[in-house]
Amino acid sequence: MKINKDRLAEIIRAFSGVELLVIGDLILDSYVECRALGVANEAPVPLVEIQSEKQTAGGAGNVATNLARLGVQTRLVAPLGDDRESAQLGRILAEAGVGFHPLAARRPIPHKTRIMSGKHYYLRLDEEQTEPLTEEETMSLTETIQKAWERPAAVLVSDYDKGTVTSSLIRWIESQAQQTKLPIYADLKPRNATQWRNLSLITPNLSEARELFGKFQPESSFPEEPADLASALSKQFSSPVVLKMSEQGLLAVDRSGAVCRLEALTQHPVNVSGAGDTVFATVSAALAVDASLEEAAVLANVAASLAVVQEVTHAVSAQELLDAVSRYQTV
Amino acid sequence: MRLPVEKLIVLTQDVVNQFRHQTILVAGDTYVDREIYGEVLRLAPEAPVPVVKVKSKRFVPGGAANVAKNIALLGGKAILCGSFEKMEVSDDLWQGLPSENFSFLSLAHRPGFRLPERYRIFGANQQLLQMLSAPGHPAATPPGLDLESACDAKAQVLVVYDQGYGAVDAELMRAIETFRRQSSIKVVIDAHPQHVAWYGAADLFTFNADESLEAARRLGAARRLGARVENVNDAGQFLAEKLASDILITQGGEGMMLFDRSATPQRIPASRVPLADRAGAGDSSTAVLALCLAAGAPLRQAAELANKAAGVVVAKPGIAYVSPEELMNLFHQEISHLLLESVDVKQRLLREQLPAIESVVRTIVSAYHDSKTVYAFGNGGSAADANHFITELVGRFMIERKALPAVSFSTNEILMTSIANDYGYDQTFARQVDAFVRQGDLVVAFSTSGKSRNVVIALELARQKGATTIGFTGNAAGEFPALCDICIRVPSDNTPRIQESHLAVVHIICELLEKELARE
Repeated sequence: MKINKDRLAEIIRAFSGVELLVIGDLILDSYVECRALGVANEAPVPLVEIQSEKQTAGGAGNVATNLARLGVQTRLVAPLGDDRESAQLGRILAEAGVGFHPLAARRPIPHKTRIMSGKHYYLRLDEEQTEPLTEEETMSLTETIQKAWERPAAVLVSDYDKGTVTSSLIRWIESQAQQTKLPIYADLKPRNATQWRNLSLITPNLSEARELFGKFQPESSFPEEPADLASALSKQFSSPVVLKMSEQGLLAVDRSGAVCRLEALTQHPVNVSGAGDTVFATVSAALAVDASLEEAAVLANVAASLAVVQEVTHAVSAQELLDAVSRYQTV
Repeated sequence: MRLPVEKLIVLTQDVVNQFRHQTILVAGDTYVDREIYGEVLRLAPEAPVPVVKVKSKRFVPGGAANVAKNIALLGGKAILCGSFEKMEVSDDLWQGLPSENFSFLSLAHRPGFRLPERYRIFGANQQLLQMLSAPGHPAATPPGLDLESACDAKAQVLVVYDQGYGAVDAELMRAIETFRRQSSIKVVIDAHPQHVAWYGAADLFTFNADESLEAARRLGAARRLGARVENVNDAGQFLAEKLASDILITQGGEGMMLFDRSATPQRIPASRVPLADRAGAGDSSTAVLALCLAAGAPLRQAAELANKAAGVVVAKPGIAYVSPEELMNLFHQEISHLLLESVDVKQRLLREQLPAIESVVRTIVSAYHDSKTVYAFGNGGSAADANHFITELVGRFMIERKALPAVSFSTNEILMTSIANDYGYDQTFARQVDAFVRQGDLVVAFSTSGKSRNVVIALELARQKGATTIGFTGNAAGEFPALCDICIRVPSDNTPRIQESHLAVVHIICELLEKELARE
């Protein structure tokens, strides 16, 4: 495997000339940093005092933020509630330079709150309502997408199984993409995954890949070897696959069946949340500027190594990626 | 309505009924208490910590607002003195305030003020974490107290709730001291140890155990007492003197300690209830204290009732409240508990003591046939039982019959005091046994423990003199089994329950005895 650093830099520089459209589930990620005060008076549980609170966009919001930081002209379409968390998320996305086209929805957006004290993590609070959008809401969503659909190079779907991506939305996006001859790149939770017919990239993690395999072949057990698993999914979806294997790195299988395996570049990740979105965004951006799957995976692997060494979810900028690529040891 | 001191109301029912006539001002730190209830089905992928899937959230007024809410729910009129105006208070807090018995005394407007918040996170009804918002939210200028409006409120008690969140400062405390001097209002301070130097005299201060130690330290207890204050007892006495006020120290599961300046320190044990958690117990307790003092109840009674109210609240998970009905029921519950305890002892008596009771009746009947006399004695309540028994024999129980010769050694106080004075108390009954008892007479001794010295010595002498001995005692029985020919042993270790059964047995014996004698 020979990767040319100059070629990688060229790909990164091309990001700013491309527009991508992201559709999917928004999540608000909160990090509440506390100071331990001791044990509560009324029950033997930790008593902590809030020192600071940081919020980031998660789900499709994180994918869009990553794209925007990479210099991609990013448009995001997703349902947004009228609660305090939704308003906050709108501000975060605007600050990140994402062109956000919200669909006004009645329910609040999913909210994950991590309560920590330095490196010590107490617990996570998950608040969410994940019923699928109604047909009527899906219709409104497609109208919103249509308005945002100007000249994207590809459509990215970030389905976190929070209700945005319904069967009828899948059908609509596929027909729309077909008409405009655009590729669809998808990061999917397995539940609705089998309904997709025409994808040009999927980026599951290992457990999602195994579950996906099970959806298609409930009778047989999944292949132990990740390369076999990825190849099987690639055939099933007729799509390239980038398999996210956390500390074991990435594995890419293209349509011809060629396998490329990349070791993780960081052995000591600090925080892995959101790194999957970074991989999905980087591979998608690279493919959109005509990088090969292998080149895209190499860039994503470098980007992931930069994201996981940060305390909170971190979107890697084009400049950070350029700097890292210049240091990159080709094998 | 304030009752004059000479008409001190004593019964709890009466006190609780008075709540609705009381008006209480509450000033100090208000915050929003947020409870988050969820279920924990898995661990976070990032670290082995629980992921709490939120099922419901509850926002309740905290601090001074919650004390006021407790007062309103108990039927009193609560006036919350605050530095907020309606629009500034979080909607969540607003929804949690009661619509009845509740009003505001709005003080200085503080723009940009954000109420402090406290979170409690529960997974499957178990508290997992408590989280406070950072201090520094309260505006730099705490509110003063508008004395004129406060006077117009015609409240009986002012509660100052100081959690150190910034609503209470030296200036407010000076104003409150003036207010107290110029009116007849009683002031109860739920104290913050770091502010103890600001407090003037009040009618009552409440601290928890740790706070009391810190407060005593800050007021120089070590210098005064020559040693570090390490226990609640020393801290309480020192604070009572230093602050010239009564002090109530709450000790969670151990109950309360009351340092009333006019009495020795008193311990009030906690109610024995299944504990959910202590959330809200302090606020309910403060509310009940304030209402009781407003209603003119003595401090000790106020503290006891507050303690019981806390017992109701700790049995409920999360922030909970107590209603006047629950307080009333609490006493009904206690009464029925005691009655059932008495019933239970009598049922065990029924199972275990029938032969002994029958045998006492036969023995007395045959003693009277032989023209013998019955003598009875005991100390205190047992003396009363002995007298009662003798009375039924000499007089009549239920039907007309001849008088029976029976004497109580516990009745003659001149004789008793004379013997005690000359021979010692141990000889009070033995001397009388020596004087009166003849061979074949019946000696009936009452002692719940079976160990009273004067009773035991008298029984020994009666035996030497050839009398038949009958003992009424409890489960432990002491020396009775060895000294009595027949022993009625009530299967309980609780003195009042034992004595109640003794009386029941006395009545049964008299009734059967009378029937036997009437047949002749």
